Amino acid sequence: MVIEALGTHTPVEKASEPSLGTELIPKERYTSKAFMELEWERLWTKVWNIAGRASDIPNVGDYFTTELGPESFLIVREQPDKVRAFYNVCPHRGNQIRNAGMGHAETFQCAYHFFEFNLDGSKKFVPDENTFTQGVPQETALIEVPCDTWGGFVWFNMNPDAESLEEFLGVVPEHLAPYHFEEFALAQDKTIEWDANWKASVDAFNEIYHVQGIHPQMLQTLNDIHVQIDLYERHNRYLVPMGLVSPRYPNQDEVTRGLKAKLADAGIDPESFTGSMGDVRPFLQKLAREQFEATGLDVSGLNDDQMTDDYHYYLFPNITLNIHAGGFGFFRQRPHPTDPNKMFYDLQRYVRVPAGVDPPPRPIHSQHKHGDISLGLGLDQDSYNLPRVQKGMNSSSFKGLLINYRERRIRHMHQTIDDYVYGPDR
Amino acid sequence: MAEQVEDTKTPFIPVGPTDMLKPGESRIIEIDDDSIVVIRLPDGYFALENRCSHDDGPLGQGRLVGYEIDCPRHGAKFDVRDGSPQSLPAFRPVASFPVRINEKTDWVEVQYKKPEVEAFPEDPRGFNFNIT
Repeated sequence: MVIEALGTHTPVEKASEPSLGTELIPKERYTSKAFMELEWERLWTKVWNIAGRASDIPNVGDYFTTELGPESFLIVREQPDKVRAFYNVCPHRGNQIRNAGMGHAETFQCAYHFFEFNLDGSKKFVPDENTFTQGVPQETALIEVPCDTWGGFVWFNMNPDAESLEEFLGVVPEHLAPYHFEEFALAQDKTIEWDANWKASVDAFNEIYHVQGIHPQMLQTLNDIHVQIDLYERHNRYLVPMGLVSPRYPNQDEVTRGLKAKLADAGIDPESFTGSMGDVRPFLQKLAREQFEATGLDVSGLNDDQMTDDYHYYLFPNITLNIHAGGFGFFRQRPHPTDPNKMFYDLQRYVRVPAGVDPPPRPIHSQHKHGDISLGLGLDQDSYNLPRVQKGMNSSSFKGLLINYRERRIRHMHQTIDDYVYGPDR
Repeated sequence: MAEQVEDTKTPFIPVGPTDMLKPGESRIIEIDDDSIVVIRLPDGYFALENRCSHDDGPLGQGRLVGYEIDCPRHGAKFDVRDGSPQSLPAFRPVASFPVRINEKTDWVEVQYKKPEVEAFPEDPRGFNFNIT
């Protein structure tokens, strides 16, 4: 089932604040193998997870694999309007049906003994089947898991009794429909094995309190104080005003170098801009809307703030979206199969493509170790810091996370994790 | 690795106009009693024998991802630039053929030569499958 877009405008009303408490968040949630195992058993196997992009499997028989923790999944377009997800495991003796990556298949034949399965996972052929004196029942098939699509992404859930994806996503489809995610094309695709727990990465992007320390250059171009935070049932967001200086910035009248760079990015010679600092943001918003409309992009459902600001959505448990009118950054933060001090950071960037324009060539996915490559200044600053945080959390001197009001998206995430790990009636 | 010697005797065979494929597409071309896969990528045309070295089945319906073509039967991957295997279950290369654009005719031409395939070749890792 494809969830249809619902909303015509992103709601901007402030959500009511749940009671989250102020206790320390125990560090073991980030460092202990025991908690990692609890998370696997009670969280990851029960939630909807993003497998990849539906556009990577445009034709019947196209497939890609995705890894989550110790498991590998095979995602295939079985019919023009149906995508299926299977454990990437042959039921004969456990061989992986397909190598990691993308491909195309008429059937799935295991390379080990040539057990063959149809695209719907059903048994097609077993060589020398009569030598299995116990029989090989028709149910000897690829094991399927619930699968659905939204936002151009394919989602899967290891829980056969899972709620629908629509229920799981809650308000998110309505909120993000005006961005027209189906018109976005992938422009960057990397995976980096980071030396940190997956939640440490989620935390770093779910609070803006760290900008003053880790990204001081951003104080020239965004307001890190007056940020609206909204906590929903599982997911949350903050709305970051951009195109202006932070209240922390020493000169509130300066058209900073960062703001001048934004003007230049928009095609304006910064030296020809005669307005004040406070004029930059509305100028950029008006210009952005004109430019989008000139290229045929429908931004009618987006307000003026959405022309400049980062509408930053966190989809529980591990998806971070930095959403702008013309593109979004996508982070998928996957747990390491065995080590709570490691994770896989999937970094993708998407650009919106006008109708009738060829999308950019799909970038080749690359995989790296922590620190091997630059991800750009901002992410380099985050990734430099994360292993130091993880190491510090492992110190015997450190008991737990002291979270303030501006960091409450972190506390909200942990409360939702506890709903799965310990139950909502704990 | 042995130095590649340019083959100046085998003729180039025209296989189609330069706009016969879009970047990212491939086509199977029959030559004599054989077939090749002609592939177009953003940086040019390539040609491989239409055979997966894992099971000798046709390679040509495989999907192109970057510089790799993947065999539709078991997912073995080959680099289209030189036919080298990029993943098990394949461990032997497939033949790749030089490709040129004829500037006068604006056609793609492939220097096809029927590959020699040993029934039980020496394993490139040093083992010998021949049992005597």
